[in-house]
Amino acid sequence: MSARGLARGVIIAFGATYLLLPLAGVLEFAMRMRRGVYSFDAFFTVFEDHRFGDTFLYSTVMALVTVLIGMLIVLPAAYAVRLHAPRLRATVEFVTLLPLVVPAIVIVFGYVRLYGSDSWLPLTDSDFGADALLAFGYVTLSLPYIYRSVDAGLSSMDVRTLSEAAESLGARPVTVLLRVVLPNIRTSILSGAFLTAAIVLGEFTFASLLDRPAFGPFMQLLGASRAYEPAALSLVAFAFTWGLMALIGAIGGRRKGT
Amino acid sequence: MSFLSVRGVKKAFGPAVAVQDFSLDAERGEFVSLLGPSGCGKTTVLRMIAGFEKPDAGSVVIDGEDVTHLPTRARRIGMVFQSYALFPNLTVEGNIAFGLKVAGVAKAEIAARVKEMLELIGLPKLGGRYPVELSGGQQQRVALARAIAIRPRILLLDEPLSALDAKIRVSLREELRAIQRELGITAIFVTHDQEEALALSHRVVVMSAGWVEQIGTPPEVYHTPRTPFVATFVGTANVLPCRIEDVAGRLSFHGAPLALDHALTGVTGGEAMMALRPEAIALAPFEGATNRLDATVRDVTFLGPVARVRVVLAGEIEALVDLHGEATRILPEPGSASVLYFRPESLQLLDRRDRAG
Ligand SMILES: Nc1ncnc2c1ncn2[C@@H]1O[C@H](COP(=O)(O)OP(=O)(O)OP(=O)(O)O)[C@@H](O)[C@H]1O
Ligand SMILES: [Mg+2]
Repeated sequence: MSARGLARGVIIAFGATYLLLPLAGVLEFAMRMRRGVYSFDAFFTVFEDHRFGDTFLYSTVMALVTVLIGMLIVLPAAYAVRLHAPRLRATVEFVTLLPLVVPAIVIVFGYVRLYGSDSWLPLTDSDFGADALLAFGYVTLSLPYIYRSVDAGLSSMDVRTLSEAAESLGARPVTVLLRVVLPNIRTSILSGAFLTAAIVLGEFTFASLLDRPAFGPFMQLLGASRAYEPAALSLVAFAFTWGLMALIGAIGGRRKGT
Repeated sequence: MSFLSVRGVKKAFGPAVAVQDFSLDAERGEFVSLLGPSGCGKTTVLRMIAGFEKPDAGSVVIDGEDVTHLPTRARRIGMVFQSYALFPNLTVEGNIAFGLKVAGVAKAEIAARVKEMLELIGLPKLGGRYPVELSGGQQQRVALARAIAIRPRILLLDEPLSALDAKIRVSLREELRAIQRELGITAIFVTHDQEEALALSHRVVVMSAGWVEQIGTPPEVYHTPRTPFVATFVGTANVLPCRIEDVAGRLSFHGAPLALDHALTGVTGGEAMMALRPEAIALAPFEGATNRLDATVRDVTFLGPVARVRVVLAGEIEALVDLHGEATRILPEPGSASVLYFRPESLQLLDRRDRAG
């Protein structure tokens, strides 16, 4: 019993060290900005930079738009496949996994070629066009995560029978989707949404090549030109991501719906 | 015209034919069971009435309206599933109110109807609970309340009691019948449990391998089975070969003369099959038992109210005899010669066709 407890303690300590030691190192480094003493100067410098707020806001809005568009596409698709074409499931899953295989740089190059200034639809010519292009790009990037979480949610309920029950009570397909399916996979949708948000907030390639004022390029810029601030910034971003994860856990932990 | 009329309905899934040819007429307020072994197409028939499957041929008419091509939501039916299928995110009240909300019924009226339904199913205090907080029997009662809250024209039930344990199954079965009678709602009930079908129904549709074998009241189906399948699937029966001797209803079994209680129309001569229930046979003469067959007792199993005797007829054909009450006091010895006595009306001539094969 006690040997077992000891082994467990050692494993936990090892895991915690593995995770926390680098963080502690980064924190220690970030606090050495003022010579001779530890201070939070690097953090203050980051927060005082107006670009921090601007790019963070931009990327947050992007994340929301991405989640919205992604869900609007994926939810009905995953539902319809499950109900009416279960044999297509493997194919659809494969397609949604493609963005993990095709590098972002290839995708964005394709976009620039397809929607550049001299193309039939020059989206990159206007700010709004470029923003839209970025959002669609992000939807593609987050497809694997959104689809998987939605599909996992659908697996956790008896979609077919519940849909048929609702239909027999007079509900139209849209009503079934909104009143029966959606509330029962809320947790999965939230986890997909948070994963997507975390990815979009840190994304560099798309934003940089489309020249958008996003958080990812800002982090990169800071990293290339400063010493202590990038460390502070990465800790802030890390804390934010962890906050999102904790939120998923907290919401997922609540069993009942409202 | 009858209230529900299903005409010549067929359904195939790829090369596999689930329903070969199904027709049924049900009156308003009638309780009809679809009874048959697993895979015989009961659920498929029910799903075609509900509109979840499109029949390949035939039509479904409810209250004079041809609904064959209507989607489920427009058919005004109520459906109860084996797995309850309550919405897990809604309370009991929310579940019962679902159909009414979808139909745009006024709030006050919904509240009143929900209350009425909760009382009908005997759960007036559980309106605020979630499905996970209910027992299986309670969940199925809520599912029933949800289905009838919208005042459907027909109630469709697909093995609603199968997931429950034996005791609840019997009590809920009685409740279901009481509610159905009280509301006077037409019900189609799918089951593979013959006792359930016999106990609940006005009429039973016995199905096998996608075909309708027989439609009749429970006593009709039990006492006058038309096919070997019905004779053996509903209760226990000895299905024996025989020869038809004449149109007056005289038969013979391995040379021994037997008589039916009615004359035959059409058929004369030739080989046939007959059914005889074990409990219709006695090993001693009794009034009206004009049919006799010589037999040898093989073995006897005493079960209290019943003693089951296995006998051999004509040296090779096994048959069962059930002795009841006083007849079980003195049991026959295995190996002894015996005589089976039974009435002409106990003998049922079967259609040669046995689609179940
Ligand atoms: N969606 C489907 N796709 C393919 N085959 C199906 C489908 N639904 C039913 N079948 C087949 O049709 C036949 C009849 O099925 P059905 O579900 O109607 O039987 P059942 O009488 O309800 O059986 P059980 O008592 O097991 O529920 C079966 O052989 C089944 O495999
Ligand atoms: Mg079935």
